[in-house]
Amino acid sequence: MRWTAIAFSAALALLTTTPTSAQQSPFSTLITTPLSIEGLTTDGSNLYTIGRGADGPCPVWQINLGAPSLVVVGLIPNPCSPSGVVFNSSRQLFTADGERIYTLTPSAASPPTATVFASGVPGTNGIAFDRSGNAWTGDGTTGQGRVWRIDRQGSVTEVFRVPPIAIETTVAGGIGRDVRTLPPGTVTVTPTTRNAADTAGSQPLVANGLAFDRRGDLFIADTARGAIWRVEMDNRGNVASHTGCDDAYAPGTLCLENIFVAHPLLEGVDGIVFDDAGNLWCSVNERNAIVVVTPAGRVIEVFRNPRDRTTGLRNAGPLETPTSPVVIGKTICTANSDGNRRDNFPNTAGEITPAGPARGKISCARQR
Amino acid sequence: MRQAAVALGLAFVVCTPFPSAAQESARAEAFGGYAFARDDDRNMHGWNGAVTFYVRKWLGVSADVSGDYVTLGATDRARFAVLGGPRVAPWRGRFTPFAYALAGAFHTRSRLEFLSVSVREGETDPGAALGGGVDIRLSGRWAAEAKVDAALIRSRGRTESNPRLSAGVVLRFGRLE
Repeated sequence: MRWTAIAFSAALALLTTTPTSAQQSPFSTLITTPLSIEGLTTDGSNLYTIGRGADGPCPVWQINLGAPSLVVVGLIPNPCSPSGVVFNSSRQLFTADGERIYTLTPSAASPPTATVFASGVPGTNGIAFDRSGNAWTGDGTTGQGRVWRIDRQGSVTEVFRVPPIAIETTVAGGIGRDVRTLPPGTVTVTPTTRNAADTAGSQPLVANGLAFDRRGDLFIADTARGAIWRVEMDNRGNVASHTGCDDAYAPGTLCLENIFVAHPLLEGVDGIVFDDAGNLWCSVNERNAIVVVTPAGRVIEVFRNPRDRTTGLRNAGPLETPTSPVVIGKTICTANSDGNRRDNFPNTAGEITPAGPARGKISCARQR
Repeated sequence: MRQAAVALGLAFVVCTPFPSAAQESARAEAFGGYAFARDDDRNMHGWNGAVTFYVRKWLGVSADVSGDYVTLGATDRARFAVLGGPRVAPWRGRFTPFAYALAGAFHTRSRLEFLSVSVREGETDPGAALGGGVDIRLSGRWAAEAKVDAALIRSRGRTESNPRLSAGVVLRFGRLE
């Protein structure tokens, strides 16, 4: 009986303490960067990102997944603060910067300086290419929800709008809502209310990351609402989704029926990318999280920074404002921009800080 | 849709029965073998089984099931088909061409596993398969068979067309006078 009890106890201890083969590694740092970064893309074996806010031209870095180092393969003219970055089918690299789209063909031997591909797209942030080779981009933090198509010659056309959070009317201050993140916003907590104590932290961004699925439909990350919009395209690449349901908005504004998913897990969703199976991977910058949306519209949190039990904060990493995801086989990587809001506040904690020396980083996780 | 139209046209031309096609025929036959399918630009591999009962020497009714599989990054995907419909074989000989038009359902099942997340999803859609192939007689009861078709799947308001290919063996039963 005693031996049975000992054996049972030993088996129980073994079962409760031995990691199983199914246990997975969390996100870890692939490489840090001396400048802040936001966009991230891949050519299938290397990652590409661009340093922001350099004194001179902003460097386009190539990072090999197997042997990571920062190899300069191009330059964006100063002044520069590029965000989204993507390849087209001809392996030309495009990046959004201010109100311009730059392009270059990466070369480690002789890094070229990017040229202006298109302009007149204020706030441009995410970029995606459709089947016909047209680039699409949204208006980012300008918050009007404009989405433009840019043809192969660089000609820009506004195609539709994501409904803005608030609209200007004869009522001073507009009508709608104001989504705010805390911090930098703050609230005054009393026994009966939780009202705003200031006006900081307003989040008007409704047209952020973009991605096309295999059917050719366009998906757009709505950072403010925590939503993903799906815009159906016909066989010729024209918008088939309904627009103009509410004439309070500008003509061509999407109807609400085009929301694919809206979920609290997506609050602060930034860059998005499809994997080969049609799952949409989302870097959720406000929540220091990676979320996946399945083809059927299920929203699942894959990873979120653990909460420090002492400080109650989630700003110590491994994610530090994840902005742009990339999928390579069974590996998921994301750029981190170390923003100073919500879960990443204060951004002085963690591996990267505003003061440097590391101001940006790429984090990866691999399914074993 | 173009693939489906071509497959249907070829099947019609090849399988229009000849008046002199009266040959000794099996009452029923069972097929089993390897299956290949395309899903957009992805290759899937799996199995295919079918049973055909002949009501005329040149006309039968087939029940066809298949399963195709592929791993896409962290997602394992399987697509199963259960289809039924007419099958025509214009003449019998060492080489027996045939064509078929099947309708039924396709069920796609996905399993995503990443870190601690495991998500399973399934979707069942109506569909059809239009195509044909050839039987090569090996003995009195055994034959080899290869067939190709266009799978039409109606999913989320759109119709997708993807080619499928199967090859395997056929076992024949009974005799249709």
